[in-house]
Amino acid sequence: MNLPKAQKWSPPRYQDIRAGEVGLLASADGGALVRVIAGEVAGHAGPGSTYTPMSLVHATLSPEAELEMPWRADYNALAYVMAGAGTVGTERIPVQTGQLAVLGPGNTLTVGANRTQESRSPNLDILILGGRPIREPVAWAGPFVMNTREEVIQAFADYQAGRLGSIPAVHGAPTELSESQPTGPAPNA
Amino acid sequence: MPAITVDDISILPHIPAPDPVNARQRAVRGITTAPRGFEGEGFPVRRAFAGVDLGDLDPFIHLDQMGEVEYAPGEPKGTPWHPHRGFETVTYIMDGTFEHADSNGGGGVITNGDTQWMTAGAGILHIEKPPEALVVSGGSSTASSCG
Repeated sequence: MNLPKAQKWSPPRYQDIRAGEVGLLASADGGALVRVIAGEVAGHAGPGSTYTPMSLVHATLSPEAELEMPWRADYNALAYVMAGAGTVGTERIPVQTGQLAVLGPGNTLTVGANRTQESRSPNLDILILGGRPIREPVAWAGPFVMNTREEVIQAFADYQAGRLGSIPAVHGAPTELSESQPTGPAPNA
Repeated sequence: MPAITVDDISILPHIPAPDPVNARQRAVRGITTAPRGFEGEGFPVRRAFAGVDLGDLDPFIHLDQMGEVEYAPGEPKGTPWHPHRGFETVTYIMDGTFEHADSNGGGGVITNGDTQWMTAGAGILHIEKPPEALVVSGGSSTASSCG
């Protein structure tokens, strides 16, 4: 996810979210398991801490299950199928593994699983993402997402200069160049 | 797919049916199919957001589905050390195991249903790779990573 201009220079942070910590919900028909990783669904929050408001959800729908859920009107809404076949929207637009649906405005979204699924993926596994748009200029190259071209060029320069951090030491290896010279004669001298 | 499952969904709180008076259903504006590519040292990915306008994705910018992949022994691949600045990456493991380490001291092993959420912010270096045991034995892995 992008960070707004004011937070691009935040100190780095790592959140370790275990499977058992996510918020768990069921669809009204009981056929879908909804995991809330961040944000909230119907008042049930997930553990992820976000800089801007957003929700990250992984839903698993049994064949023929339908998941209808509130989705904040000020968020966008994206549904990506990780496995299985189903439909998105009340107009039931078909989607399958590897497809993304971009949804329009509203405060509710609906996804459904087809009756027939492939044997290797018996359910519909779908990621539903949305957040409040940041609406700032994006300058993006490789691993850097900034607001201006100059900031991206600066990021490459800072990386080359080692200002984005250093690779941690492994197995007690020296973190700085260590040299030694043998003492005494070489074995075959 | 494993992720986290529950034996009896009926004991969970149910999402109430939307109020028909105030519910405004979101219609599908477009469907795209993710092209396949390779990440890092050869990890197969689907580029979920390819071809979608950044304005429609905002605040998201990037989504890769990594795998599903079946590894032979010696085959698992990750990414080399690489930098990030100005955004966050979230990796959600559906099935399998990944190791992460970063220059800020963050890291660890994430497995079925776990999430690693890394804020690059001002700058970070990190690496993601399958654990050594998986490299030795082979195995399967599926994950999604978004930024």
